[in-house]
Amino acid sequence: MRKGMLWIIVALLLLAPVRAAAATEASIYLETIGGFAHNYLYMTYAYIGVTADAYAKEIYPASYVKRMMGDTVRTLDILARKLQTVQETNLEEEDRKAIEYIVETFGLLKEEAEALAALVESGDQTALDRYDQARKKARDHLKRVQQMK
Amino acid sequence: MKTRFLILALLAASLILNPSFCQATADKDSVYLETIGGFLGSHMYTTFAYIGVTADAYAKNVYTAAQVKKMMEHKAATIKDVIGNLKKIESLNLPEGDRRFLTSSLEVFDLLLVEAEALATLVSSSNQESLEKYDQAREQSWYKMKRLLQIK
Repeated sequence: MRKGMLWIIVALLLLAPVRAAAATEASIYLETIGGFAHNYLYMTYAYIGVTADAYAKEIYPASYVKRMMGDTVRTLDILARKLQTVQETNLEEEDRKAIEYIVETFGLLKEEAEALAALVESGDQTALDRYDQARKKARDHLKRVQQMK
Repeated sequence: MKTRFLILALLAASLILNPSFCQATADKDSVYLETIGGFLGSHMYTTFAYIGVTADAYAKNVYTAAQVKKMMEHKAATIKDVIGNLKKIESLNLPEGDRRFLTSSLEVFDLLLVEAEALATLVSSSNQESLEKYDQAREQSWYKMKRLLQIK
């Protein structure tokens, strides 16, 4: 019995630094993911904006912009799925909510990229309105993300 | 992405002492590392594209030099932020394959930083040296990124 207790104590002592190291590593990973996600939101918003401006000045043809926005939509989809798997790990409520909000913003950026692709294809007023609305919605959301930082 | 950004299981001793804890930790770490890997590739690709589109737009007078300078200074600050985060991860106990991927990613981000800074200088000074620096960094970052992300 005594010997059993001793082994438990030894096991706990051995595990303590391992748990601490694991917790530190996990927090470094989560901080990195948060930093990446945050930067990626702003960069994608800026990237869609400069691409739209460049298209308006006829720097790129519609087919090129469509392809660029197609790539952006696919990337946002993949990253949103990755973030959802992170959300399924054992996170604190605050982190979970932050990721939820980021994923939501990814969805809005996706709408914006899709709207730009539709706009360069059709060039009509409805598509332009849809793009403007999507951009405004994404911008408003980004402002809130900034406040959450 | 071929290299799976994974971390090895924890100490063998802890595996024997508490297998369920280590299993959970290893799974969680692999989720985190795979997510970081996904962001790394997307981040470098979109950064490269963003700098290029901005340069093209500047060449066609879509933006003023002051606007591009501000955009690139902001971009450079973001890249520095990414590099700082990656260096923190580099200090962790990573398997060799992941470390190599990380080192190569850092090289690409260093070149993207040179590219963004060179574009900011170029629009302010229009000198030949900045143009060459920009072109060289762009070419090198594309070459390295293509190999790293296996872009066809």
